[in-house]
This record gives sequence, structure tokens and C-alpha cells, in this order.
Amino acid sequence: MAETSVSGSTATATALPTKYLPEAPPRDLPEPRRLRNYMGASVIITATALGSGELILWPYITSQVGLGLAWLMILGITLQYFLNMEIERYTLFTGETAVTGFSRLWLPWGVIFVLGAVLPNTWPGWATSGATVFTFTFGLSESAVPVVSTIFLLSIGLAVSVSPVIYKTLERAEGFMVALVLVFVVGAVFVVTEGSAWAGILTQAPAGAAGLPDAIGELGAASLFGAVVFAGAGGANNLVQSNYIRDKGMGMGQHIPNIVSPITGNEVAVPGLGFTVPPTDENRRRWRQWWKIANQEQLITFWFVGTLLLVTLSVIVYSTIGVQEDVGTDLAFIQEQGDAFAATVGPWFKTLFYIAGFLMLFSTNVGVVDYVSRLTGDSLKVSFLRDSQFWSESKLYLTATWFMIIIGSGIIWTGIEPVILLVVAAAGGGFVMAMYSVLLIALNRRTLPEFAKLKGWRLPVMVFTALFYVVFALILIYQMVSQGPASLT
Amino acid sequence: MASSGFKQLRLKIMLTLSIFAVLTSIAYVVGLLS
Repeated sequence: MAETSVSGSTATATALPTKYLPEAPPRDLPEPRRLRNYMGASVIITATALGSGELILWPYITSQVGLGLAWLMILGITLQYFLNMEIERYTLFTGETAVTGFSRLWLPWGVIFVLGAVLPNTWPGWATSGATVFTFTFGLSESAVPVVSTIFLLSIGLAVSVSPVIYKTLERAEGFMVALVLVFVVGAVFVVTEGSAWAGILTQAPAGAAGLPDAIGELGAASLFGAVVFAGAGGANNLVQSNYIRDKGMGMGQHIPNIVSPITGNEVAVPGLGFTVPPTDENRRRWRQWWKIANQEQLITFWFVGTLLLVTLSVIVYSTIGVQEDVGTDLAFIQEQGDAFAATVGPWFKTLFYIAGFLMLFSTNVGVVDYVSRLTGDSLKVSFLRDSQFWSESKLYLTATWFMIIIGSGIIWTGIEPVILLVVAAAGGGFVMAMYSVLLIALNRRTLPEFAKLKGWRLPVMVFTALFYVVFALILIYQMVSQGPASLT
Repeated sequence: MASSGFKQLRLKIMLTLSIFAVLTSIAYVVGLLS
């Protein structure tokens, strides 16, 4: 794995580890095109991310402690920006997913991250939250929530199983949903918020930061950790950014052949092993360009849009219902928000808010099931099940999907409340992030050559990021062990 | 180059919504949602 001389045409590429997976042959980086050709590579992760953090967990926190901790959610999404860029770094350079890279370091990581994606996200926080908001919209009773939640999950299972067949037909009907959410957010911003609420993000921050230990006590370490994790994407979701940029043909992803996906009926990058890049002058130049484009794209599409929406939705909550006593883990605080909208603007606005909220939770859940199943198929097919005739990527995808739907449906009927379910998913995701943030540092330092590896100012930033998630995870474990799981919220 | 993954996801969401609407309506009609 030693790097050889970089002079001229005899430069040879740094080899990727081959203890567990086959060799990656050398290949030159393709020429990048302009940024506009790749804008949107981060759209899926942003769209999937918009949901539980922005709509439920951060409002849950804001309604208890005000805006003093809003800086923590901006920190959360910013750390995710840096994590996502390291995930992209490995994929841009090799064409492999980050999880495949982890498998090169130690084969079982592939399975560990599949479990880390499946288990936390099986807890049906989105389905139960969405179903609850649905009952608010149409004035149904609380007893309808489990039925609607189950229908919610079943619909997702059926849709992802059959979507390849009627894909073409659906292409016409898509703009409506996005437009509806946007109309709500724009409307709420202008009508409902005051300037002082926006200023509160800054003015309340010092007191909020000073009161962090108390806040952890009041909110529960798991809720706070979970909210930070879900500020942005969170958990294993960030790992599939590798898949998205490969599909988009970025970096060495362009050399990965596409197949018609047996799942979606569309072209996607085939799961598989990648390449390594010789350190020629041309490749160095191309690398610098790819890295710049990828950073800009992620900054605009994920960080800027994500932060804007996080902040806006929190300010809206604070403006409408302020700080409350005894905020429960059912979604009564959402209903109070709705009532405040009805009083300030009109009942139609309340309905629009509920519908927009429902759609956000719904789309996040679809995205979650999709990415988890995709990660499962991809990771297992590249590592343990490479030679299996029976286990195709498609079968793995569907198995993961229906596991989540069936187990999730079972959990619904235990009556565990939506916020708790989301916190479990998020906290579990936080543990996964603690693991892969450390692994990314190892992967991008040890397997990539000097001109592409993680170095400079990004290294201490990544160390801080890893420490952040690791420390939070340890606080959570300590609290669970010393006070029991019930103490977490 | 692969076609838009975002479009794929969006269409899955639309399909899921449609199935949801149908199943919920059926549930309402048969009295499962009171």
C-alpha cells in the first residue's frame, strides 16, 4: 500500500487494501464538466432528510426550551456536510461506496452497517407521526392512529415492490406535492413569524449554550442527541450519498457501469468494486476540479437548503406556540401549532400545515425504506453474497423492505408514542454515525494517495466531528446503564 | 449516465400516496377508522 514516486508517466496508483476484497485496477479520472451538470446529486438526501428532524424533533425541543439550542441543529447539519464530503471523497476517487471501502478494511463492516441501517429505521416513528397528523387533519380519533400507521407502511411496501411496472405512468403527476409544501412554508414565514423570533436564534444562544447540561436533563440525552442526528439526514442515510453520486456519474463513478435496476426499472450504477487512480499531473488536476464541484454542490443543495428549512421551521414553531410546560411525547404540540395557525390565519392554513407535515413525514419514510433497502442490497452483494446465485440485489432489497414493514407494523400496535419511536431511530442512527465518522478518517487517510487523501484543516474538523458523535453516544450509553432506558426522554 | 434518482424517488412517493389514499378510503368505508 506504499505510495510510489509521482514523477511523470511511471507513476503508479496507491493500491486499495485487498485482504478481504479483490484488487481495484488503476484507471484515470474522467474529465469533470461544469457544476450545473451535477447540481442535484444531493437532492435525494436533502429531500429524504426533510421530515422528522425539522417537523417533529426540533419543534419538540423548541417548544420546551425555546431557541437557545438552535445553534446545535446548525452544528449538526454542518457536521453532516463534512461527513458527507468524506463519504463522497472515497467514492469520487475509487467509484466504490464508502461501505465497500469499510469492508476492505474489515469484511464484517458491511453487515454491521446493514444492521445499523435496518434496525434503527425499523422503529416506525415517521409512520406513526404521519398517521397522527392525518387524524388531526380529518378529525379522526386517536384509535385510528395504529390503523392508519399500518396502512402507511403497507402502502410503502407495495409501492416500492411494484413501482418498476408503472413507473412511466407516474411521470406526469409529481410537481404538486413539492409545490404544496413550499406554499405552506412561504406562507407561514410571511404571515406568522415576527422579527424577534428570528433574532432569538442569536440572542437566546448564549443562555442556551450555558444551559446545555440542564437541557440534557430536561429533554433527555436521547432526545437531544436524536434531534442533532436528524438535523439533516442522519444515521446510515449519509452513507448512501456514495450511491447517489455514482448514479450521477461523478468522479470515478462515471466508470462504474450502469444497469437497468431490477427494482426501479431505471438506470443505476451496478453494485461493485471500483478503481484506483494513478497520481499523474492530469489526474491531480481532475481530482482538484471534482473535489471543488462536489463540495459546492453539497454546500448549496444539502447544507444551505437544509439549514434554511431547519431554522425556518423552528422559528415558526417558536412564533406560534412559544415555550410550553409539560410537552408530551404524543404530538399534541403539533395540534397546538395547528390551532395557533387557525387562530392567526384561518382554518384553511391549519389544514395546509397538517397536509404539508403529513407529506413531509410520508416522503421521508418512503426515502428511508428505499435507502435502507438499497444499502442492504449493495453492501451484502459486494461482500458476503458476491457469489450467491440465489441472493440477487433485487431480492435483498425486497427482503429489507418487507422486514421493516412487517416488524414496523408490529411495533405500531404496542402503542409506543411517535416521538419516542423517532428518538429511538435517531439515537440508533447516532451510534452508527459515531462508528462511521471514525472509520471515514481511517479509510480516507490510509487507502487514498497524498493528493486525494483527508488532510489539512479537514482532518481536525473530522476528528472533532467523530468526537462529537462518539461522546454523545457514550453519554447516552452511560445514562441508559445508570438510570435505565426509561430515563432517556 | 444514469437518469434522475430524485425523479425515481418522487414517483415512488406519488405511488405510495395513491395506494395509501385507496387503502385509507377502504378502511374508512368499512368502519376501521372511527
